[in-house]
Amino acid sequence: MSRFIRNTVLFSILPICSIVLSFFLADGTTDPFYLRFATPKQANLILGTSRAAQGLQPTVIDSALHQNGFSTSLFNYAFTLAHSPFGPVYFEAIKRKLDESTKDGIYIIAVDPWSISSKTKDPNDSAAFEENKLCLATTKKINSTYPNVDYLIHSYAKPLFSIYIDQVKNVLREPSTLLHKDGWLEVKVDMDSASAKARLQTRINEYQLNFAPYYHFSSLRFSYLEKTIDLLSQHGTVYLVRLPIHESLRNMDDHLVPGFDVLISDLAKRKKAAYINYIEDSDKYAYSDGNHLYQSSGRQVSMKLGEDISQLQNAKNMTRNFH
Amino acid sequence: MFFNSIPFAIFLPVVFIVYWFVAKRSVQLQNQFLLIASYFFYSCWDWRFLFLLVFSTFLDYMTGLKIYEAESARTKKTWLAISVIVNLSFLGFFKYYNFFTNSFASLLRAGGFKPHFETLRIILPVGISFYTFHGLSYVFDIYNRKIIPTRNWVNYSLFVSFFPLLVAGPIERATHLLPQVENKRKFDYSKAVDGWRQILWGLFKKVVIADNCAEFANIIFNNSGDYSGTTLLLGAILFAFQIYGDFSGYSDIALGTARLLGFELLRNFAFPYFSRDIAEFWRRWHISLSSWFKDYLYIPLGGSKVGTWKKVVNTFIIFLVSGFWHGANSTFLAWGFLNALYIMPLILSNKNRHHVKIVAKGSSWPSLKDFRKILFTFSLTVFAWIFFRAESITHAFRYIKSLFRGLFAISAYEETFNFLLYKVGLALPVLILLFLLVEWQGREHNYAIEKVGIKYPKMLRWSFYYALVIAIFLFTGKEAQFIYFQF
Repeated sequence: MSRFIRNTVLFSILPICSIVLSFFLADGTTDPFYLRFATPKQANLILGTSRAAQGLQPTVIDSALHQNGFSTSLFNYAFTLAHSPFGPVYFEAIKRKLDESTKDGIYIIAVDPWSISSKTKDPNDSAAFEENKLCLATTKKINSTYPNVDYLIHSYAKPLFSIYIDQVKNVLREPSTLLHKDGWLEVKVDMDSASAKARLQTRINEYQLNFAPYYHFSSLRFSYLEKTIDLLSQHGTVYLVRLPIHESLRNMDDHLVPGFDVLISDLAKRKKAAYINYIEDSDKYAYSDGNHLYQSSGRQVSMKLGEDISQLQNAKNMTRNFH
Repeated sequence: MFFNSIPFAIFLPVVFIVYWFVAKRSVQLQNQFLLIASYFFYSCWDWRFLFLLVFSTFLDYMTGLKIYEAESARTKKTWLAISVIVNLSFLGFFKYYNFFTNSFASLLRAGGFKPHFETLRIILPVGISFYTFHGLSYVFDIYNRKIIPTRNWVNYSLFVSFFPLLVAGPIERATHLLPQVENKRKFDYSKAVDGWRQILWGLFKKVVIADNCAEFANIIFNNSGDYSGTTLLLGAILFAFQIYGDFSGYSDIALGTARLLGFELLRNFAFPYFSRDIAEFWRRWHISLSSWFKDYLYIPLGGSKVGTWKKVVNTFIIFLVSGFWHGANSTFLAWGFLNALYIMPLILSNKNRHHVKIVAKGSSWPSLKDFRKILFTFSLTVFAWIFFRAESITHAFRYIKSLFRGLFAISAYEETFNFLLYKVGLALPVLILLFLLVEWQGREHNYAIEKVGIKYPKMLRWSFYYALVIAIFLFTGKEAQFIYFQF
């Protein structure tokens, strides 16, 4: 028996150590989501889909706010259209990520027609929502201190050993995506006109063929956007933001939910939140694929958003002092 | 708690240590501990159904005793009927209620009626088909005087609920497992090492072969309308490897785990894809279920010692029931029906035991004749799997229609080539080929790597095992659930 146990332990040492080591090697290059699960609860959040995940840079917004005398530390908790449209799963994930003790937080909710729509046969059938099977639903521990073993075992889409392979690849060449500790997803792409045009065309095709024919406005998702605003309003100020996108994709946005801006403006009024709409400035910025702001443009938009929020916060404080 | 999960990787060593070190004083203590561990294992799925498992165990334990003690044949029959009716009622309710309700409603609708039947959202208790069949075999064997019932409740419960076989078999017989439960087990080094080896091979089959095949088989089956004939053929072949890797992998892990604890379970697979005809295939695929049906249904019906017409009827009954056992869906019935059709010429011409010996025994490669037969049998099996995998009969027929329609177009080959190259990649085909090669080399043993490198120096042997471990780590597929857990 002792021989058996000795040999078993000896044989297992290497596999067990490599599994444990892989947990510690996981970082911002592992996948576009992992680090958001390997951080504690947060007081200030950026929410939305991949448009916000790639477009809004917390450090830039923070610096703009700091210049205006606000001390915030924003965390980008936006994922993708598949993972984090508004709905029961994202709402629960936000609730769990939110530091409930916060009273003066800043919450930026990026909105677009897709995030309040669904491609299920019945757009209000929450049991059939795609995100039910994805990491925000499958990870029990959302606020782990580094490393998040639960995420790596249950939600990481690739085999654990690919963490090693990715690390080797990172040494050989710069990774194309990097998730920062503040949740911002940095995407590095060639911006020469030919490749940018090709990516734009691919994205347009994807939306035209795979998304536009199947997506429909979901009143359930919209009600969850309302619920999210209600939840966050209890802990600070909510800003609804519409980010700029390429014109050809904007047409599809408008077609999906006509009158989207009016709908959100009304919602903002009802909920006493601000609606900051940058969609009319779309031609001022560069996009990595039409749907996502290129990082330099993302920096500009983030800076502008930080300044706009500062102004709104100042105005709000003045009104409060006046009363 | 899946066999291929971290919780099981913790559970098994804990059970092993407590079982061999803490509970080693007596066989009763070991059995009590194993029963608690098995119930814990089961309640990790859904603790509510533990009551059903305990009730089913109690029912068969009591009826077994009553049948044995009954003085008249009529009383024996009554107790047997009680056990069969109650067991099958539970199985029928949980597994087939909605199927029958929907079918009956469709029938009425076809007759111009407007029925208002409620279907229920019934959760299928994990392993119900397996433990029900364990229990039934026990009462049948007592009724047929093959065994004497045990008067030890713990032993009987462990026979039914032993965790390696509880959720997806193999379907054990009291004549085989109960004596092992009752007698003292001795730790045997070589058997325990063999257990680990079989677990490792089972994990490889499940995690590397089955789960990777599943990913692409799912893409093709779920979007079958978008693909041409050769890609659909590829999808069916991938599913054939998925289901084999999945179920035989599970069985290997179950057998290996039981062997670590000193038990020998019934063999469930014997390299079925190397069969030379469909009768041989059914002697090598899900052996514990096939032999269960043979012993408790086919033989009582008269088996093959009846007239030709009765033989045909009996064969169809067995395969249809076997198909229905898998689930309440007409696709499984069609799968069973098709297999009955396949086997019929062999039965009618008395050639169903033509290939009993291992193919190409003692030689490295099969003869051309054997190879042709293997390929033909495999093709029949792959064709039948389309029904097994399809969502509905309509889906299956649409799939088959598109498969044959687009099989000879150049554009179809191009599409399949691109699918293989850009979606599947080269790794999976290479892994499947290596897997087939190892299985072929090991076909004379209980499982493929049973004797691989057994006489080599330890370093060399361990290198092979590490290669498997690395393959498991590197190529872990996305799919996690075992197919047969749903049955």
